[in-house]
Amino acid sequence: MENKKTSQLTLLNRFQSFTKHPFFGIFLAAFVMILIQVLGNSGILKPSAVDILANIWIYMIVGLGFTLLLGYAGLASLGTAGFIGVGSYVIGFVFNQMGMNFFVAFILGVVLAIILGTIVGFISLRIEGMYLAIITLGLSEILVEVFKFWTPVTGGVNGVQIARPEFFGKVLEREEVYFILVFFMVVVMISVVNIIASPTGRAMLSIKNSTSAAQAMGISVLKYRLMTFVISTVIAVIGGMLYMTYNRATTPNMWSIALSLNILAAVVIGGSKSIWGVGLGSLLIFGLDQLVLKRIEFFQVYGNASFILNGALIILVVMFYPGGIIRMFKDLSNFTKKQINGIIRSYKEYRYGKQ
Amino acid sequence: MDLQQLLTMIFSGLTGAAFLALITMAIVLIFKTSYTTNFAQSSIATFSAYTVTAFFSKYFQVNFPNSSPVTLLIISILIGIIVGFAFGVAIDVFIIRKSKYSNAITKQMITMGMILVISGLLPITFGIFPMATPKPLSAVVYQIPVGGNIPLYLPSHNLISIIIAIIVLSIMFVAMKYTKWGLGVRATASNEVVASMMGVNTKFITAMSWGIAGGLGALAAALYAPTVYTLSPDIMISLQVNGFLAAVLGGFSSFGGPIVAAIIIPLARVFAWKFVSNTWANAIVYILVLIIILIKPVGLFGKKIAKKV
Repeated sequence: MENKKTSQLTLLNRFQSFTKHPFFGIFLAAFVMILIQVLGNSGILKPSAVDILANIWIYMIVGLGFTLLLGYAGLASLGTAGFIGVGSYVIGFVFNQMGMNFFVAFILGVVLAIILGTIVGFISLRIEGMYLAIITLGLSEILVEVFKFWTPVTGGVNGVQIARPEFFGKVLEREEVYFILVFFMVVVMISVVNIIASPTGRAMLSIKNSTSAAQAMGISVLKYRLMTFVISTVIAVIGGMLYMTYNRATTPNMWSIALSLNILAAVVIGGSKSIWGVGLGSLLIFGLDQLVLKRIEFFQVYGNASFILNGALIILVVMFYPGGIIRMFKDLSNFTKKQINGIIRSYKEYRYGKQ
Repeated sequence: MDLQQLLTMIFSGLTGAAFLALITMAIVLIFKTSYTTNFAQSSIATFSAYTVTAFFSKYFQVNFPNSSPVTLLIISILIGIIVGFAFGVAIDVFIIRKSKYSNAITKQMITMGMILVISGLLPITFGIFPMATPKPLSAVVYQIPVGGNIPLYLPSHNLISIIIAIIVLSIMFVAMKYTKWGLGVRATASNEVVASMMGVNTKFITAMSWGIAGGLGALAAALYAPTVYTLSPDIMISLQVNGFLAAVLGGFSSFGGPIVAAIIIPLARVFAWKFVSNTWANAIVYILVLIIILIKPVGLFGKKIAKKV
């Protein structure tokens, strides 16, 4: 009897320690994403809704890279959309000119991201953190021009379309690309969680909190800032490549500064220090807009009207509540615990008298 | 290439420089007093340009058809400047100052949020259709003989823009040098805490700087909009990008440096457009700026500011 109880306890303990592992939530999220696709196949969810969600996951992947930059290194960048665009055009170019070669495309994209990120990051971060936003703002404008006018590669204003991607001779359906997307999501999430928990992540955080103190501790400010920027650039380019593989079309106008700002909004509003905050923020910013607001007539007429909400939320969160929405859950649970404890105490005082 | 062509190019470069110098001045003014980069500068300016056009073509021209369009335009531009001023002051007083946790990056994020707010507000306030911009003086073209057979053509709108920019910037520099407000700006720029301890009303100085920056942006937009014929929410973005590049190139530490850079950049752009490539002029200028700040991180005319802990 005694023995059985302890074994049950250990099983429970094991389950608890299993759920507390940082990767548990990630795999749970991946499971939910796969479930969405399964529901879409079985006809419960509309295919268009699945498409919209898939694009939200892509922006969420990009947002994860941005979290490192904004929440941990304390830097703001405006080049995100440009980098996503670079990724999408790399896929378009490689697939149309060199056949469906995933590995060449992936390596080319990552190398391009590292080169671009290093040049821009090195020049601007050498001076000061604030300059990164200025230089990337210029870069994103130039990138849009490149997409528009480098016609032999980027197809000009009409953009690039690709056929259904093939993988080892097998034509990939949209659902299969969706699973690739979920796989990348898991990989990026695990990498970001690991980076945050590693000495690198702590070095980034120390730089954000005080540059001078970090320098005094022997942390190279430029090195870690540059590293973060390059990582987030690589993740943005990967996001762009996934976007192109899934949607199979890209045009220059999509990669304007508004998208960068919306990704910034998703990260800031959700909570710039947590990977779950980014998920919530992306669902709120892109999901609310695409799934709900697009059906209201007012927002149909005035296309950008939902931006007001995003912008106002950025300002409010930055002003009063830097933790973002994810922080709100924690605060709310703390608040309810306090209230419940207070009620229990007053009940006990009433029942048993003051001690 | 003959003299006439060269002069035309320089003139068109200077026209661009007139708009750019105003925007750059606004950016540097805010950087100096608030220690942040105002990314919403172009959005505020675009909002003011829409205001100018809406007042001019939808209100004044309908209600006062007999008045001279130039007077009406001047009144509309003044209204636009007031709107830009109010916008700037409002952002400082109601948002930046009330912000609980603020450093350079969070202020940057606030101005980025402002871009989204204004780009959403524009279609709601002014309608979704593109508006043609008023240009009552475009018919007048001055011809100046310069050797050869073909005279130099100077469109009056561009000439007036250059003159207005020179006057306004001169007033700004004189005010910065000799008025109490200018002294306050310079004191706040060098050290905000010490300035407020010495009795400078830094809050008022900062709010005024935001307002004046908004007004300068509005003026630049009102002058710039007629040269692109129709208004759209993103007309000012390229000007803003170049304004920031000019500020970086000239060095944020002085007021004169960025203005000089704001004159250099459009000229460089025009020459790159003529001699290198039609399409890649902007990219060439951007890469040149990157190379220069790679060699000289503080900018062409900047001084290194040592930071104390």
